[in-house]
Amino acid sequence: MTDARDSILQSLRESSNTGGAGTIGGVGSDEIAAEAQALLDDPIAVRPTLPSADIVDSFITRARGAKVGATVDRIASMETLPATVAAYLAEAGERAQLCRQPTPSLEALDWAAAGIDVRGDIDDGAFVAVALWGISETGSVVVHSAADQPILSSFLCGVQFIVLKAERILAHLEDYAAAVQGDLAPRNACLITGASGTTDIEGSLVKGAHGPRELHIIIVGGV
Amino acid sequence: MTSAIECPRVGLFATCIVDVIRPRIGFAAVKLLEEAGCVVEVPERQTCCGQPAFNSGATKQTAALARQFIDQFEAFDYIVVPSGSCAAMIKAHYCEALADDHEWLERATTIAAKTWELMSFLDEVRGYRPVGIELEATATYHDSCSGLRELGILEQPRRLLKAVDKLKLQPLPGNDVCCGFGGTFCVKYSAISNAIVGEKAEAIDGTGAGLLLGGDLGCLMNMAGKLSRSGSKVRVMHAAEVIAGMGDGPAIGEEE
Amino acid sequence: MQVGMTSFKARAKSALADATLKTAIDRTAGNAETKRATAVGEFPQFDAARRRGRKIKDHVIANLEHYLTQFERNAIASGAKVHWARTSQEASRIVIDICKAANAKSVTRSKSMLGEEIGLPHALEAAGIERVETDLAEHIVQLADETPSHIVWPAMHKTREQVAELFKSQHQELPASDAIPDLVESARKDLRRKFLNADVGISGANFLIADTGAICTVTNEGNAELTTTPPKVHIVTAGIEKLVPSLGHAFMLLRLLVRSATGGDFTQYTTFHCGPKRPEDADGPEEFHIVLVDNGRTKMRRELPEMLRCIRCGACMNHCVVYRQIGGHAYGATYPGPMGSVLTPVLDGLKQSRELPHACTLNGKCAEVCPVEIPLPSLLRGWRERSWKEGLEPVTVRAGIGGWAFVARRPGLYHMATAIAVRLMRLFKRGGRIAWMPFAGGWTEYRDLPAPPKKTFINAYHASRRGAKP
Repeated sequence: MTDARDSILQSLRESSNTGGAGTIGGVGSDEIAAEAQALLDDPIAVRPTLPSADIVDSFITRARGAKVGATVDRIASMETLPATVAAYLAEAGERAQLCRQPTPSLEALDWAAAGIDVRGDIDDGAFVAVALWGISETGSVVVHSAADQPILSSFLCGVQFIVLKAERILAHLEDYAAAVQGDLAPRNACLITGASGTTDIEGSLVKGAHGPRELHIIIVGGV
Repeated sequence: MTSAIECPRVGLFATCIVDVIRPRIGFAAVKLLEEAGCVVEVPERQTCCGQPAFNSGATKQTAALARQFIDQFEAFDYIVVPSGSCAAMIKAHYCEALADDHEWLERATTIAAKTWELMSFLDEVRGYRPVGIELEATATYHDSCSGLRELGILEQPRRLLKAVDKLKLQPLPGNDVCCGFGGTFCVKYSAISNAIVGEKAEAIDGTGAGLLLGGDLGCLMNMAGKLSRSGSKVRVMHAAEVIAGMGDGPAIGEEE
Repeated sequence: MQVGMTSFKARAKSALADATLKTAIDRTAGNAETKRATAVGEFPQFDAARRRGRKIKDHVIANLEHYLTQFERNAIASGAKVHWARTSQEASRIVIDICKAANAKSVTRSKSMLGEEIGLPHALEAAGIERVETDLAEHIVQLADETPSHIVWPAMHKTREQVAELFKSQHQELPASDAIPDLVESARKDLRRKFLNADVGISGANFLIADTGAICTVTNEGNAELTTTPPKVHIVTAGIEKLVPSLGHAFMLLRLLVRSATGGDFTQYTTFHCGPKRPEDADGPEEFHIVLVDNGRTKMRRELPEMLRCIRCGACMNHCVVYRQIGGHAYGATYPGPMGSVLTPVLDGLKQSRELPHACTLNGKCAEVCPVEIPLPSLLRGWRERSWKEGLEPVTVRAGIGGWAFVARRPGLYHMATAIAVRLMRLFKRGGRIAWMPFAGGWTEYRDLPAPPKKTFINAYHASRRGAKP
């Protein structure tokens, strides 16, 4: 559809020179880039403040808040992760079964010792994955698609456990943008902010629309 | 008191519906402006600001009426209007209607700067407060949309009404929600307008107030007409009438 | 598109007579209005943020050619295939061709208003491809064989009772009860199978990120990821105005979008999709197509550039007194409410849709809540002006306004006319009111009209002045 491309771009070029509202004609790439950069200036003026001075505390407040509705645990080290997961599942009345992200830091743990049966199929069961970042402003956790990070698992599970290292928690959305700036963008970067929810029937919130019914975030370290 | 002029010459633009339907509002405005130290004149050849034409898309007709208005009123120190939407028409939209006419655009800009809605003029420009005015009533207040959103009129009438002795103000839930008048909208889409004003009338009745006040006769007529049609006992008046001490007279739709 | 089938007034009238519809709208829109107010109240920087948001959009619109080509370059580098479509027909044909090339039997769709705009549901059906709407509300709308009535809550017009009826008659897994959680669970089971069996997944895009070539989807349900990850092919359809320079700019707009739409702080699932599955990836589509759609947008850039700021949050309709009374379907267009009444004349032609810009009280609430400061009332009035200029306004309106303006420009005649009008009106008064009067039926059908006193203000004032100064 080269024709369509040319005609759309041509039409834009023509209207750039009319000088109507919202149009400026004949500006070079450098000027455009400088203007775009200036639009990111002074982020403090245009973003919400964190609920506390401590980034981790802020993250927990936001994640546990009604809008996100996640539950949060803090543990000192990865070794206690299986026991923490097992305790959560027992408390929730779920079976002690789990599918885990195929990544060395989770595969190295002794899940059996905590009484957890590690399984391959995920449908509607529990799934544990490690997040790359947390964002305090929104209480979000971030996963990127990779060889050891299947995206679908995060959406097919019924109970989602996300492991988040305390030192990976960033204050604001811009900090995440800065952290990935210049990296090759992953196929999928998912900012997960709570369990799957819907308000599509009468505006009433129900969890577990298509994906996870519950999101449990386990912050490791920094205690 | 932000006025630099001690006894400003004020041209009162009564508006076309006040002229025909409720002259009392015009007389209230004259009285208030004089008490606030102004020399008031009412140009005899005034007609309409052109808002119905403007909102119907008839810009040529609007521009002609705008020119007529500017001719009649530009000599005054201030132009005062007992209506938020007509004042907004002059202040905010004459420049749009005359955008293609350089000379008149300049005159429209000048006139815009000295045009005021009545209550905001009394409060902000003249620092006026009624003295010795009394009305034993519980009133609620509807904020008409143009005045509220185009001119920022919210606290000014309330400040003036607070100075009226024995008058109690009861908040109206949804005070900033449109009453469904919308100028020609209310007759073009009368069924939709009726549904909107029906909800408004319920909200007004729900306050328990006996009196509804506002600053725009169009909206007040719409709400008064719906209230009386649905059998409500709530009476409706322009706030200027109450502030001018004319609150004991007939309300909108009552026999003179 | 339902325009032309019946008149706007007829549709509005039947909507007004539907008490269930009003209940449904008030439950969802009322909820949204309250939640937005809370979210904005908790974000004191909101006004500064929306000024910034507006500037970002204006910057992109001004430099659209630059950003489109930058986006295209980066998207292609990430392995995406980029298509361009001038019209809705061209866009849906491109999508259908990709589906056919993939030999698609079943297609999942994640809610996209652009998809509705370009007629994709119909085009897929015409091509004999099974279409599975995965957004819960779109699923409801599909089962009911309807169109969305709101851009964020497509099934806003349905009560829970009506949804229960639909699910009971059409789901394999029947809902355990009419309670909303049971209804959601029933849809979850029904759709889960279909996600995994689809050949193609189609999504829209909330943002196109120029400096990476990624596209952003936002959902609370997670249906976008379930739609786009399992199939072999992911097709994105996006309007060309969806561009932003970078991730940081997208975040600034997301803060505004989510609060304005649902009153949340952030959507549950905010995902950036960049190209197809990489060789090392655990999952993802093998093909990633992006269809960039004009469909009137380059024209809007000339004539209504402010409207290209719109980020489709739906706040204008939630806060619109007219929408709240008649709902979305009465507008008879893809986009209802204030933003829809500005867009529809662009998409369907002013002649077809001239009523929509008039069906508005110009109260300004929509502009007040707009997160990117679109002057919606001015734009609506602009359409009225255009309609007047092009002679599309009915003869009665032209004669009425024209005749009245003629008289108002002649003060002598005008004051004679008002004196006569006063006398005539007084013929119909009972007490202080007029309950019926010829030529005033639009008013008196529903409300009383106050009777005018004998003299107009101008007459009475000047008479008293002359009396006072003999």
